[in-house]
Amino acid sequence: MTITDTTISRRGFLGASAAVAASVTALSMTGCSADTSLEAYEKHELPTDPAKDGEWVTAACWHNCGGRCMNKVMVKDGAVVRQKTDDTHDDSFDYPQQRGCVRGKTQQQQCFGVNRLKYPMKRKNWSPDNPNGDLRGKDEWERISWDEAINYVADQFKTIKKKYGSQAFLIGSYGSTYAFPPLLAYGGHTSIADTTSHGAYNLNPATTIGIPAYDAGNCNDRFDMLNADLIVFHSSNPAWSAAGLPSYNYIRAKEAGVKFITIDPVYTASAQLLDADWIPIRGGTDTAFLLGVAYEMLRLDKEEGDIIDWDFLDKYTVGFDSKHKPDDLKEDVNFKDYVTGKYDKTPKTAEWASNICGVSAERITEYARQLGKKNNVWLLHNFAMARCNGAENLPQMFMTVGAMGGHMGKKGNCTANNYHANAGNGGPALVSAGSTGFPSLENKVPGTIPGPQAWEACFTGKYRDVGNWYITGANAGKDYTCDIHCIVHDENAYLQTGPNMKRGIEAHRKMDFVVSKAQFLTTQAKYSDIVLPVTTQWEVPGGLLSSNREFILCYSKVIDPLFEAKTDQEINTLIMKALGLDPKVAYPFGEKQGFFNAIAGCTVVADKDPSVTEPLVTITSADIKKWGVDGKPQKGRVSLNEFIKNGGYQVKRKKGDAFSSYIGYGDFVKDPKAAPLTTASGKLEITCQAKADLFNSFGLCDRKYTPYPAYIKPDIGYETTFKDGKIGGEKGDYPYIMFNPHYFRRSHTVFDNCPWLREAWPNPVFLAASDAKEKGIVDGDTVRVWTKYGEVLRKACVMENMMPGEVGIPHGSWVRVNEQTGIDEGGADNFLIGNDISGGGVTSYNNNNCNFEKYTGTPLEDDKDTDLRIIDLD
Amino acid sequence: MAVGFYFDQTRCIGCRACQIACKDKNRLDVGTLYRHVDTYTTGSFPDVSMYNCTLACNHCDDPACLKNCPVGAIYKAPDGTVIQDQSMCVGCRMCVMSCPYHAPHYIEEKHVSGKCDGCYGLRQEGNLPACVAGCPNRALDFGDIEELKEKYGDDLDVGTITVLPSPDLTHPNILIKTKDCAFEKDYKELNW
Repeated sequence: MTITDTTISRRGFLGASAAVAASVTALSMTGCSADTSLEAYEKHELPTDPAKDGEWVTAACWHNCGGRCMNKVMVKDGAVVRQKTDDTHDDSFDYPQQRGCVRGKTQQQQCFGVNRLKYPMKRKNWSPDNPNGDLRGKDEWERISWDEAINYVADQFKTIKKKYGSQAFLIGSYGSTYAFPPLLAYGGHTSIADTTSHGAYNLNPATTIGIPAYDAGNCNDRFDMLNADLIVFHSSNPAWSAAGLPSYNYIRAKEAGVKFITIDPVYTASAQLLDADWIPIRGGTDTAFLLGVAYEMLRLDKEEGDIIDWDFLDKYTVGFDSKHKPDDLKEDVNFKDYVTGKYDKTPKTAEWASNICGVSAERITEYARQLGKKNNVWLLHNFAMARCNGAENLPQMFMTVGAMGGHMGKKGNCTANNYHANAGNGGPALVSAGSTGFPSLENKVPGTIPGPQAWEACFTGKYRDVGNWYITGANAGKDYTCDIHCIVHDENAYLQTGPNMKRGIEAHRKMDFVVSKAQFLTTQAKYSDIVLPVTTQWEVPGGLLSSNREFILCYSKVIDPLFEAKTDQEINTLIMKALGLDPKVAYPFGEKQGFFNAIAGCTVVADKDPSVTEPLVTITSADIKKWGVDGKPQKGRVSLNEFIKNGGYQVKRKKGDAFSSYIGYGDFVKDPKAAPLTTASGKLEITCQAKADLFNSFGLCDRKYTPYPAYIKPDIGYETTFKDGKIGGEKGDYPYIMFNPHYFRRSHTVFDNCPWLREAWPNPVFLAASDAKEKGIVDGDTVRVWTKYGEVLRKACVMENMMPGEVGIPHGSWVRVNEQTGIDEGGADNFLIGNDISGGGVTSYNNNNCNFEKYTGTPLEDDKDTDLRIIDLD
Repeated sequence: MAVGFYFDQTRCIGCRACQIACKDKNRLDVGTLYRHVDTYTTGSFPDVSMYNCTLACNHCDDPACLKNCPVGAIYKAPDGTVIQDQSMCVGCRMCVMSCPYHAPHYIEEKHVSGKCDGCYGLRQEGNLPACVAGCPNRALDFGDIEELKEKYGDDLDVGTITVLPSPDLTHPNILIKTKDCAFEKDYKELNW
């Protein structure tokens, strides 16, 4: 496909689909009288649907929001004129439509935004001989051809590999399997692994304390929430961070009389929806809170009885008390003796916890009572609480409290995460996508830099690898050296979403070469030398996306690649060829064949037996011929045409169906001997030698980890908001706790440049009303927020529904550094976050320290009025 | 005959999906909202309540916009939908100024006003209005007011919550399943 045969129609298309006028025309007031007119409708032409008779196409909604909801677009006369969500079947709580969220409805502005990059481009003052790296982020752009772009990239890769070896390449990514096939095939690259979303939950493989990786999969099926008395959202706001179906399921529980509790610094949109009882808590202090809860459960059990499920602890856990010592324990310690203060003479009373977490002692006691064994509790958490300095023991602590109440493995009870599409809906997938069949290439360069060390390592040449979290998990610390000369941004937005961004920008400016694939002038693209325009998923042949357990989305191509954009596969193929590599090692066949393979491999559970799966899609010889692919005819439940037309497949659910009996830890609780956990004891380990050994092997700090979940005083957190680090003393230079709420305008960084979303969601700084009042700040004032690492401007949102002492900087806003002042006017969370690292390599996102004031400079304009970064190279 | 929206405030998360579904269907640029969502808190920390209000045209029994339009561009369809014929609009903004709900919007680039027509054209094809079909939490509905009352109960609020003007002004066709806090006198807009 070349530009010449497509440009005109696509330009017209772009205009019709996404015109975002910014004109501020002066108005002329037309004189008019206020005569009453009662018009007869016969005098008018009644409205008709202008989009009538267009064709609906199922479009991708593919971001890291966890939704994967139904998204359809109407294509009429070559333009997308409307979107809609699921209406493929009647809607009910049992069998709900997979309706998408506010962001999915704006997808057209991402795909057809006036700021889409049209051509390959080069930074004007970059050349192979002189990179002029200091100008990255400030330079102008010039249009180049694809041939030139690919040659620049390949030549740089060749030169750098020859001079410094493959370790000199750094991929801004979260792990090497996501990374860039051309470099993997060319000898590999140095990787980054940030603890990203899951925080301290990255540190616990299922072989340590007994919870599954990321605490995933042990939530009960959604129908079981109706059996609960109480559902707890601990640091979880599914209305924003698990948009799509989860909130609707929770509405059903609320309307059936289930009560909700939320433990969070913010009274969230989810809390509002579910009339939750709010326990406001300081960010990063959840381990202390839960220790106080455990102490109170013990006390109440003694004084009132019926709080702790001793049978559960006895049968399914080790290490709660001295009578249940795990065999492999090196010292004779246990959780109960720690909580009651035997080891440090500090009983972890409600008052002790209250002093740290800010929840009143009375409320801690009440919560301990609510978690008692007589109540059926769904005890759910998300990961914000674990994205904190000092949160290493939190996963074990959360599991412990769940086990103390016996809230596992039985009807109406579960202890699990509340994450993405599976929030409130656990259990094995009932319908699954097949594999595309594209091979994943191995990375031959060892060494993974923990996120907070990544940019610093570009200067120091040193880092300590503690695990490639999403690939191989945590490992004992090992020191590496590196000499990075080239940064590649492929699929991830690592400069924007990783910590220590200010230093990251400096690291980019130090490089010989930086290349990005991008659809817009994203933060990664902005600090690059060569930018390769890549398509969105609306411009590829199609694909499958897994959603909640009962639905998969099948999306089709909406339009040919816009302007000169190419797909990932096309770009990578060109680079591999230019490097003298055989692209077939990464791409043995085309994109359409990959799409077909994924469809052919789809499976669905048998109607009555969840353990049996069968092929989902019927494929005929005629289908194979029509698609022009290799394949074998097969018999399934729906025809290929139907599958494409419906946009996927949803298993029809009914209360009481064979799948609603899924209970997390069900097999283990039914028979712990026949279905033991993968821990040393085969049980949940409340005191765990393997955990202590693993944590103590990281060697990133001098913390000594205990086998039980002790409180860890953070290096940066609530304590350090005081001058001497002691709670209750004089406040220090950074007296507020800063956290980064996931924000509804975006999915991480994606959608941040969509005008409709900018208008709907202004992205302010969250300030507690009493804190704002002290500084004379009212709604809409421009506020300067600063940490020891950087400073940003945002407009104030003054909130009664947030804990005083907290400052919320919404996650993922695109950085916009004012080069004169050095202040980020975009309000990027990671511009304020540095290289603080918590023991096991956990990035500290949610308990940083900051200060703020009313800004005295020029007030900030609204994001909806700011520059859309349109690069005009026509 | 009268038609209008049903809004279940107890199901609304304030996500603005309805607002954007409306912009999509009506192809509206930034600055023009035929439907908008606002979030409010009542009380003070830590005893706080919160609610949302989503509002488009209420297709009033006594529409102020219709009565004040000097050129007769606004009329009632046979089913009671209040519709603006944009081809006749002279951009005088009388509708914008007279509507107590701020439903009509002046569109600067076009020098005309515009407003929600309850997706009249879509409904003639058997579809729901875009905002109703697009709500992830099924918090909106549209239809004949009497039928809506039958479907959702006749104890619904007719627009007396604190943030709305008195329904006595224009007799709006809106039915709200309210949260109690929406009647508290003191409230604060939460523009987060």
